[in-house]
Amino acid sequence: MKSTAARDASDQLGQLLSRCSLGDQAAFGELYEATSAKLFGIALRILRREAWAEEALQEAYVKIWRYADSYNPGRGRPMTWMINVVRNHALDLLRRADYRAKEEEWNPDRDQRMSTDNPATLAETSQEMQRVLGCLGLLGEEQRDSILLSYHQGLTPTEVAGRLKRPVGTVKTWIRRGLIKVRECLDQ
Amino acid sequence: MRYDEPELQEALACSYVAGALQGLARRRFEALMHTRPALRQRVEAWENRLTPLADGTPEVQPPARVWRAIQGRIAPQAAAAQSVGWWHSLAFWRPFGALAAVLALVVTGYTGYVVTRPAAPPQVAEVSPQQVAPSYVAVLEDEADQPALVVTAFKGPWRLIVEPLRDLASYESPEGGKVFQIWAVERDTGTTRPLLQVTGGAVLRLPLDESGWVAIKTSESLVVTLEDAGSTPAAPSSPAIFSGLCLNLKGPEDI
Repeated sequence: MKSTAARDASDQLGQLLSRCSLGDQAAFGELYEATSAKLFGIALRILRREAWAEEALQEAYVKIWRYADSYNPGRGRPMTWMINVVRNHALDLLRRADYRAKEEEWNPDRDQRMSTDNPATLAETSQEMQRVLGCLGLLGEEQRDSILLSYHQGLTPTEVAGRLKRPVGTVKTWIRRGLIKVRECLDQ
Repeated sequence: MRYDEPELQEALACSYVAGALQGLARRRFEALMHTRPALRQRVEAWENRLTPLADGTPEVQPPARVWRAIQGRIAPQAAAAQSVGWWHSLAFWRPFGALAAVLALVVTGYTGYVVTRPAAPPQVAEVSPQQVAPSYVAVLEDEADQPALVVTAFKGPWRLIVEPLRDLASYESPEGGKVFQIWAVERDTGTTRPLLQVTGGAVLRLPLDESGWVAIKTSESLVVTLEDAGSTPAAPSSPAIFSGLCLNLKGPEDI
């Protein structure tokens, strides 16, 4: 169940989006203020380079502004919609050959703040996240890792396979079957 | 059709939302999603299931220049959007962007159009509706990412439909004898091969020979340059004014 505070925040974002759809730039500024740090964090986690994450964030907000009138609250919360806009942009950027080619330029030590999953962060997570994590916990460790590496870091099944030293076909099957199990667990 | 099988749809939808569909497979899936509402609903359901995972991602304050850049882009856009009717008509819930929106219109529009149109050539009218669905589509955008031309390729018989999405007269210089030359950029080598010359005014339906079909099939993208009318150059003589990925709408899905 969603807490009252979370629901209020969600309603507020929905109202800001609906004002954006009427061309209200002040509402768009408030929306950016309220959500950009979260969306930037998500883009950084996938792209791992600040310049790329900035590009993905910029594209995502331009799209959110242009398509604010097509957001439908009946289909999901505003944050879900916006997070997936930025995720799709980040994944598209990551898959472009010229971005992939620059992989070796990335220095992981520079992005210490992105080394996450510490208990303090997890304590702040939502009940919905705990539920999804609970369902992922029912899977085998490698299967769970495959899903999380793909979701959080945008690794391709080939890259996941390289990291886990498993065949790529196995990884693809793990991801698909694992997610179907998660769905069954969430639907219970 | 294969893509209508619920199990395949579910496997594709969850892979897509989890980030495990890549590159052209990802683009093709986005195009498919807009021709199949059931597929889009599955994606939305998966987004609702999995997005809580992103909730725990630490917040990072973006630099102020990002907001300035966004503002610079939305201010003129806000004014332009009011005057461009078709742009608004493309609104849909999932904002995958102009590219996918145009794809949706093209794919659904042409499928219906070719099947129902009485004046269609006999060889088209006799085939079943599935066979007249487009095989490849490319939405060519200008440097400002605004869609300019849609090129759709069909087989049985091989043919191409080229449709301008807006008035492109400002690009052409008929007095200078320049026309739009469409090129196919080969997927593996990046080689540019000439396809057809067109002028920008009307929707064109053009037959395609076998080499043209192969060029489409093996292309990564299509681009347009301005070239002299009547001559077919071996390579572009000027930078591309429009370009867009060429998407296979029916190929085997890599999941």
